[in-house]
Amino acid sequence: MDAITLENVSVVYEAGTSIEKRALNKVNLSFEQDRVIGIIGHTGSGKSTLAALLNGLSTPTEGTVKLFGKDIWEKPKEIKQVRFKVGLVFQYPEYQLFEETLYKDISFGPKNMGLTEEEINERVMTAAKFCGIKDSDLEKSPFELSGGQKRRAAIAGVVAMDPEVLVLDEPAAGLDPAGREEIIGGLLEYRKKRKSTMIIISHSMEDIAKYSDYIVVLNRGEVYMKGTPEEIFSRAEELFNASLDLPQITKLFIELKKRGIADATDIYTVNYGKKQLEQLLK
Amino acid sequence: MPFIEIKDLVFAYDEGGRKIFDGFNLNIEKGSYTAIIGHNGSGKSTLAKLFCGILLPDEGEVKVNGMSTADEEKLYEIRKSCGMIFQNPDNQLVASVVEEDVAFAPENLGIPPKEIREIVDKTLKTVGMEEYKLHATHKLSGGQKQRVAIAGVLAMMPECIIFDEATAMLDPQGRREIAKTMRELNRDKGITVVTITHYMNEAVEADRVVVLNEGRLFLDGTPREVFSKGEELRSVGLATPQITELFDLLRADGYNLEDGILHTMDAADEIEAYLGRKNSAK
Repeated sequence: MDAITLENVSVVYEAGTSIEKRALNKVNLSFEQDRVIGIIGHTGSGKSTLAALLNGLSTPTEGTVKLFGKDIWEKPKEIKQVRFKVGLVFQYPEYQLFEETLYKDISFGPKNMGLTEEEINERVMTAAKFCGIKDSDLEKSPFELSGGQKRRAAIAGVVAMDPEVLVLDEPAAGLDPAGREEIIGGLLEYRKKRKSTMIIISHSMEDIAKYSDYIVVLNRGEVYMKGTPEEIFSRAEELFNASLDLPQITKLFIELKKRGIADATDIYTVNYGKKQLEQLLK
Repeated sequence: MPFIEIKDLVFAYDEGGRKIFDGFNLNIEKGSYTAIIGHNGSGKSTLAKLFCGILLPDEGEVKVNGMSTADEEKLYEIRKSCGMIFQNPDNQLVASVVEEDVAFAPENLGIPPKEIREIVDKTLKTVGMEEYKLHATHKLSGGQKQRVAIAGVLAMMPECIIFDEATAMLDPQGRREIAKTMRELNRDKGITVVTITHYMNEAVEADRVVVLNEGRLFLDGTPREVFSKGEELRSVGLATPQITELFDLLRADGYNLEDGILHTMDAADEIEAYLGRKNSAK
């Protein structure tokens, strides 16, 4: 079943003026439930515009956005329900922490959903666990924490709403490699258990390659490519043309192919690359 | 001759609090291109702020171009010679129109209008934003804003530029462009470049890589020297470029491949050479 479907969606900013900009143009996409979807594209390709559409934060100028087959704007008054089901984590979410303690901040979402104290507590503890927040930090003020810890707390605040679809815009930007692995690893574990859908928007081709089941490449507001990581990375040249970078490992295999040494070009992770090379070097 | 000299630096954010640096020494040579890496909380950004006198040492000394940052009378001179680019461009733009933002510093330096025009056009071209010179800054994407901020610093014609995770919000092409800009500024204009980054692929481009851990100098050397120590880097939460990781894994399995390979082309050369060696051994 598809968690989210976009049918012929366009978003036009400043329509009818001289600076009219089509941020998205006739986009058709469907995201299957229980999957990790990676969205990549250059700066200004429409990634963040797309993210804001998914939970009804902005409205499409044309077309329909569907959640489990239902138009999310069918009853505009009930859009809040959509926002509980589709959790959106913005870029640099740590700037949005506002409560006195981490516990209060993380419980803000579930509280607004009208849950009981007991349920709220359970939600907060579960979210904190998967986001790698220590129990002893929950009573601390967000201002006492490092950037990485704040990022975790901000993501936990959305996870605590237990959404069906979790949309993360650059969740790991500005974190060191170990921190990246920890945050995304925890979220993937949570997602798997919950069988929810996770949409990761990132500039990091290496991260997208590593975590996604399905990849969408946006270019100038249009869907440029979509498919499994193997399908996407075997079309390396087209990715390069869309101002995107390839994982270093993919570049190596393209070079090896050029030299007539290897012929696989759909290599995108270190482990897979190692297996391929071992056969070659044996 | 060192452009930045750090001697016996001691620094804590709160009096009596945890010492971020406790007897730290580092010299940055004039005209050099240095990358500083380290996990979140290792002291990288604190160090950057100490470089240009935004923070002052509790003990010891930080000298820029022979001037101590603790000398208040020299602070203006220091900041003129040592520009800084931060991670979040929203905190750095001051004007509402791109070209006005870039002109801000030269105007304050009392440069004649005609020259300002030339400086603005030239610096915007350097960062690839000349088409946007009449655009509103708040409507640019994150990456575009960052490029304008870099142009703004370039317009001051500093002797040294410190990039504090300046590419964290850029897409791969933007990152490539900024890396290229850093290299050109260093090579063609003799500007001392210090870049603080989480992207190992970016650190590889520098002439010297300094690894910080818990306020100490953990490793210091050429990219090749530093990244050949994969095990040590991973022990402090860092990573090596994918290619280096792949070669480390293969070497651990007994394949006799060269150590410290960082780039795709070198990796392809080494694989070709390995196959040649294997065939001639037969």
